[in-house]
Amino acid sequence: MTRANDEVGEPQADGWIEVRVRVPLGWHELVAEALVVEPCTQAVIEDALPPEGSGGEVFTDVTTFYAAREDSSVVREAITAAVRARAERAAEPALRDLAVGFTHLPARDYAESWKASWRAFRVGRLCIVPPWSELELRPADLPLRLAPGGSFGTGRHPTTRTCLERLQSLIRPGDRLLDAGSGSGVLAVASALLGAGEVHGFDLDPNAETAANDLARDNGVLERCHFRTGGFDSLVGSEPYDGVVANIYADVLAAQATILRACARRFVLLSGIHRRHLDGLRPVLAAAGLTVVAERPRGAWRTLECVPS
Amino acid sequence: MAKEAVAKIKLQCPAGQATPAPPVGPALGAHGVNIAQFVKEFNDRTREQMGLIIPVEISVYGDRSFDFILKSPPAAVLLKKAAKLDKGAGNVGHETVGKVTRAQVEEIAALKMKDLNARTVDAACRIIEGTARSSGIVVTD
Repeated sequence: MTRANDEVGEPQADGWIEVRVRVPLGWHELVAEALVVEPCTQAVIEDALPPEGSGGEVFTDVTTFYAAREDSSVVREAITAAVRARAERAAEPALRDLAVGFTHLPARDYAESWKASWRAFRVGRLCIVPPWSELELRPADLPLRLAPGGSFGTGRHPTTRTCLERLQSLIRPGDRLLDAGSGSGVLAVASALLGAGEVHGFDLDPNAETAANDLARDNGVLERCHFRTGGFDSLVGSEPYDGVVANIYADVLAAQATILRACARRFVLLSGIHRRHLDGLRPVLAAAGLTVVAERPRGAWRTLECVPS
Repeated sequence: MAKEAVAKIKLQCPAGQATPAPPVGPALGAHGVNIAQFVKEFNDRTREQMGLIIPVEISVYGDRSFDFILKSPPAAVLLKKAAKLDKGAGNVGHETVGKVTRAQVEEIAALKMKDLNARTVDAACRIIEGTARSSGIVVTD
């Protein structure tokens, strides 16, 4: 029998068989281990809503799959027997009569399927474009090419969108900018595309520097973007910037408000602030010498435009 | 970037051998997660545990970026370790293959309580004891 492992992400012409077992709360590991036998190799555990009339009892669905061409009554019986034998040996009344369901699913290229949900999107003049997008750009579009779906920001988060929008008004040609907590580098690269002459970014995550450099290279602005791995202490002694953008957490912004103020000549754009943290942050910013000149809401999130006072 | 998980997906994958095939593909693809990247990172992080099934919890954020944490090993693995067994669970017959003490069961139950969604230590112990029986491991006082 061929293991699914040998068919890494390849579309299966005949599709797949989904094996689903609904188990009482807490017993999912035992059933998942029983299910992950040839030809099944991996299991998904989903908490399910209580079925109607169950009295609100919570169940967990454990599913696994195998290629439909492997399917036969022998395979189905073997999987059912493996689950039932495991359940029987547990001698647990809640595991009696576990139903093992088999459903045929059509063929699909799952390794590529996730891309379908990623489309280009516009924020003002900027158009964030995944590599596989077939969107026809408008003459006024400023494309930012970004391969999404990784561990880093993708420009879609409300706080990042607001920053992308506001940077279009705040940046002046040739500006020297700082992106504190630069992550994927999307804000720094957007700033360079919007006309900044020099953008510096830093992030504590050691993988961020590579990701951000790749993004800058893909967008042809690598020579104007400078990323490094580090925290706020790496700013000590650096020349002030024309503007600073920091899309981090409110508690970090509060802790670093004085340094952010000292780094900026013209503006500080603070984001990543949940509305519940706003009241606590305002007095800290004021004490650090940052005057909030505009508050930009987007859903539950807030972005503050500040000027050094 | 401010992160707030909008979905949590729990999987059990073979260490170093996860694939984009179902069920990983459909479970992650539905949330726009880069499946190939998850598979690569998971396999890199679990390569040294080859042969084990590793529970993993993936958090998908508002902008569809993701990260994941490896959870504690399955209860059956912890029981085998406590019983000093090398034999793989899942193929165990009706015979007794090892023993663990009640204190060891309680220790595993405490470690696994959160992963098992158990509300009490007693409920977690009951699951661990059932898992022991199903693996051919006897619980002694």
